[in-house]
Amino acid sequence: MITRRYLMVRSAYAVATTFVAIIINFLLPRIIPGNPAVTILLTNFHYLPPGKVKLLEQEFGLTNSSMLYQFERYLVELFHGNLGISYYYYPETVSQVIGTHLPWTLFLLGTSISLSSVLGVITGRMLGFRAGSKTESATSTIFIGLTSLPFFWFAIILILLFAVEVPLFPVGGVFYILDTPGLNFKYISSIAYHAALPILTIVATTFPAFALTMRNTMANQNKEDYILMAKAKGLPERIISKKYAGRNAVLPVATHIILAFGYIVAGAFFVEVVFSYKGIGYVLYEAVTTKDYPLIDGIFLMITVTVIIANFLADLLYAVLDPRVELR
Amino acid sequence: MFSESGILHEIWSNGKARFGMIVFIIFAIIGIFGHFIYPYSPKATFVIWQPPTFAHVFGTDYEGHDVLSQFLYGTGVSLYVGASVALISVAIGTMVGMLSGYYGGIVDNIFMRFVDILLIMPTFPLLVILAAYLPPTNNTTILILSLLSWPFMSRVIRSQVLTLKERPFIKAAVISGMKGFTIIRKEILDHLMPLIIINAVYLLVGAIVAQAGLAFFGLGDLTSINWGTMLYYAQSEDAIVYAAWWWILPPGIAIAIIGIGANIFGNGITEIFGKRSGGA
Amino acid sequence: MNEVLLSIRNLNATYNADSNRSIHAIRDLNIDVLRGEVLALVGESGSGKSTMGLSILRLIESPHEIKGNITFNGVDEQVSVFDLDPYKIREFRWKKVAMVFQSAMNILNPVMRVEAQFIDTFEAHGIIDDYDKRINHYLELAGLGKKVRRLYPHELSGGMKQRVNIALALSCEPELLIADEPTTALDVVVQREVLYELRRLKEELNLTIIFITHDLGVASSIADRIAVFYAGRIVEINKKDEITNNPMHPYSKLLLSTAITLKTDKDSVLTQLEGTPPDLSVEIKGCSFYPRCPVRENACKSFTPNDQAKGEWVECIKPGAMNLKEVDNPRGERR
Ligand SMILES: Nc1ncnc2c1ncn2[C@@H]1O[C@H](COP(=O)(O)OP(=O)(O)O)[C@@H](O)[C@H]1O
Ligand code: SF4
Ligand SMILES: [Mg+2]
Repeated sequence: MITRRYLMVRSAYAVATTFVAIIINFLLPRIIPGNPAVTILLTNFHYLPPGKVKLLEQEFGLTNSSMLYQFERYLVELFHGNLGISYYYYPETVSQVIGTHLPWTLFLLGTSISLSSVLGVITGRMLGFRAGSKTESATSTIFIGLTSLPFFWFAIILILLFAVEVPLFPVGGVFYILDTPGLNFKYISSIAYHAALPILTIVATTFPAFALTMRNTMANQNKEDYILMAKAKGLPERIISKKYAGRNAVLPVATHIILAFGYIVAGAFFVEVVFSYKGIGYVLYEAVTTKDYPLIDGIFLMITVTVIIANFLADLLYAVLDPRVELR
Repeated sequence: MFSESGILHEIWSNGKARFGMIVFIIFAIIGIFGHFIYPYSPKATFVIWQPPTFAHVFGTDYEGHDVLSQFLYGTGVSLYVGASVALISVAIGTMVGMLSGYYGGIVDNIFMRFVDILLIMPTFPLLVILAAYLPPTNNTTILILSLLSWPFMSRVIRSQVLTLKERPFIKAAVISGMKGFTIIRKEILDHLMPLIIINAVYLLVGAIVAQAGLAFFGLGDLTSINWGTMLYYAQSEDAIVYAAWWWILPPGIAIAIIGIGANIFGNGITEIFGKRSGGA
Repeated sequence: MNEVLLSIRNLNATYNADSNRSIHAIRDLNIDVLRGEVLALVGESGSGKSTMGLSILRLIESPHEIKGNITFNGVDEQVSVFDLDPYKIREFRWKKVAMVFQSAMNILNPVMRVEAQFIDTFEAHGIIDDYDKRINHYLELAGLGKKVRRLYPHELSGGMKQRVNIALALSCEPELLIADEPTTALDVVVQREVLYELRRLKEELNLTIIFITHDLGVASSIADRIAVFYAGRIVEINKKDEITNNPMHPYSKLLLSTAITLKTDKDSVLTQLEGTPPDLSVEIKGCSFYPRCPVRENACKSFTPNDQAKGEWVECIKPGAMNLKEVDNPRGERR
């Protein structure tokens, strides 16, 4: 039951935030004194064809036209999906670079978040049941430890253990270069093989937090009157834990997952860097180290907008999950 | 109501909070005195890629730096960044949160919309783009991290002030004719203390991790020696391929331990003050 | 058929609220509930009425404790509630004894539609046909329309939730219904409707009802017998008319005068019961009402009650001794 008003407020915020991101993206290269992009452009890329130089000059506000005019041009280009040309991947455009690498990130994120949510809910439910026992407090302590580990460091340790010391998995990459892309078993299994450790890293560092949230809400479910009622009604333990305690305890976890979204995206980027997994995160890292400013800008905008949209969709999904959300 | 020493005593008497405190104290000691006790200059070079020996307890890195010395030195830098961010964000956040929560009105309104937008905006890409354009120094990093941290802090404070405002003792103070600012200083600030402490700790650790993350991504001052840059060079100079675990482990474990310390400390604080109605 | 439907012997219920405090909410309680009667449990809040209701369904779970014996003489079999295995107790609940809970606000699962909360109950008890007809029927019995079925709990008013609870409680045709303050949260008009509904249902469905209330007036309007609770024990039990016309225990008298005063609002020796019930976390020796009793004497301190679960009894060494009009200190202030 999503009211129109709720939808409007949510989308207004989404639009406003996107707009702020666009403004940041437009202003930063233009207001920072001694624009590093310009320096790079003029020192390293003087071999660019004159047409391109002009284009890049325009992009970085090197023309003498007014800010307002520049902003207008910028918006028009943006609407046509034109984010400029990458220095590092020259002559590919930023949009092309993003297009090639984004799918890998989406694959990594989609798989990890699903696995992590499911695992978090299931283990959290089990912990909630045993709340107070020795096993439970030991597991919870370990989980607190796991949530405190930085993504990238955990990734490094995993590589060290399972790719270098005991070479079970590849040290990096997305698939074997020699594999031919397509819907064949060899290619797909190669992808899975390469994604295994990165996904393991993301899942292992994110699901404990969800599990702990689930555990806490689950443990509190015992105090709820509807749980007492469910027992009084003679419902089987299985139904109570699933449809009553579990179903209600999942709501705060869903909120937690939605809130953790941006954090997981960032984590995935680090993991990509460590595993040389050529998704957007890795490309952003390359862009940062080679000072490929158009690419940094483009990825910033793309990620921001994607996360905003994903959050918006997740909010709608949550409203479906909890009938009480009257969405004022 | 409680005095400063009272609150410290209360924290110390809780096992979890005490554990967290001890962790912080140990790191603080390393951070402050590490500069004086490292065996070699962190920039001195020896034989490269040496595993731990008696001469180099944590081994050496790709350029032959003594890892222990780098770690001892770097702890101070990492803590400096973390503590600065925590201090700035707590100061601004608490002030704005209290004023905004206590007085409400249009300023509060504008400010809340601003925070809402920041809440929706994913932090990491914003951090990256800001760090990419601004001059790469540790102070820039502190500035950026503070800029992005204080609004959340102030929001937490604000909502607590809103509930405090409804409490009888505040109402009594208002009726007795106490001035708004005096009430904030004398009555409200006292009750916010647990919340401020817990958030300061999370901010501190959050900033340490964020700084390390930025450095790992090649952003910020890469010539500075700290936990983040140690990991950055370990990654970019292929410490993994050399299986140089002695180089990778210290900064990572340090980050993990201080993170665990913060979490356990947070649980302890919630145990202490959650029970009492004034709690965090 | 045995005329005693439920018999409770030596019931003790202890809440272990936290590690260093145990609350003895029921202390050595004995009572028989007769088939087909409406038995009202009356007493101040905290006297253990709800706890007795929950004990019958064995809903006092670890870390809390219950001891004693509860025998249920069902139409088809006699069961000892505390000896049932997990499967059997599940069957027993709701099918033999159902309960309308005190706090209706949060009693329904917030994320399930009303009808789904009927259906899972049916499924749990092997009722597999005619869901639609059954749900409509019981909703109607409780005075609700069909459209309630598709609603979520948050879309119901307090009174509607209470009625849904009543409909649910009836839906598996229990032999005993425990109604725990079913009208307390409701406004007076709705309160009267629900009371009327319950009495009608009792006749229609041949129910036995344990009706819990802190309001003697409400109790006397619905009950056949009344049991007066004080500090985890029944201090007096008798036919309704006896209790309301001729209460024997000083506490019953005071309670009654409170009820009358509230009703008629004329001058009376007593407007409110003064003092507080004893702390249930420490052991009580002698008469539990001693500190508040206007006619206490030294002998009361060593008085050890032993009721026999007879149909009527008073737990006092000088029943009927107190005459309200003559009492100079009816509020039991310390002299
Ligand atoms: N879940 C519980 N945990 C701890 N103490 C409880 C719990 N439920 C009831 N009690 C205590 O047990 C006593 C009896 O409560 P209850 O049976 O609810 O009384 P009544 O229904 O007559 O108001 C009270 O002192 C109450 O505080
Ligand atoms: S036993 Fe004594 S104290 Fe207790 S109610 Fe009777 S007269 Fe009062
Ligand atoms: Mg009750």
